[in-house]
Amino acid sequence: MKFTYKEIPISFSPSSKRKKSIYRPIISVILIRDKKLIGYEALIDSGSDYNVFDAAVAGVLGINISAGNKRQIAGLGGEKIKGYEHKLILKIAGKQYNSSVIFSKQIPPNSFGILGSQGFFDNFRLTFKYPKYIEIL
Amino acid sequence: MKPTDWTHVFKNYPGMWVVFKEDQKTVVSASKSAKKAVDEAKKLGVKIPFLFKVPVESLPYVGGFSSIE
Repeated sequence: MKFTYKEIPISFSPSSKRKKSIYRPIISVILIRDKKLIGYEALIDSGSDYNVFDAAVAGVLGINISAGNKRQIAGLGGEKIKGYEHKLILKIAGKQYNSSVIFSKQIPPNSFGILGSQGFFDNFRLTFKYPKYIEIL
Repeated sequence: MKPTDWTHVFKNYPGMWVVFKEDQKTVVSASKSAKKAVDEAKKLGVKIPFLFKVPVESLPYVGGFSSIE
């Protein structure tokens, strides 16, 4: 299945009015837990070890996030954030599979939900045709 | 395939949770609360709400999370 890149206007600094369009590989994921489901738009990031989603998404699914295994994760800025790992079903590109997601209340306000190596890349074969499409098989 | 233009999303809803239709383009509802955005979308008849948290500022992004423990 092919997904489009998302065209997003960015500024090079908070004070700059100049905008430039960039294209990000953000795709739709369906999360399923105990017969509840929700769609979520997440960024494909091969540099991430895990799937990392906002805790608010877990809240919509009725997941008590602190009941999961505690995880500490770090991003490029080096700031450590706390999260909790949960098992759930993901449905991506028509394929439904068991996966794990780290939910965190500390995802920075300019960041995204992330699809990473374990729980995403290890289940698919991906082709990036930037900026036309991402094919996920 | 052409990229899906999200300019309107980043311009109109910074810092908010939005719910898209399955076309990944049409915003059905928006709120500071993910749950409120989903509840509103369901009231409007959306069967599978697709949530997205719009960044507060749209800046160049270099991401990646790695597990420490």
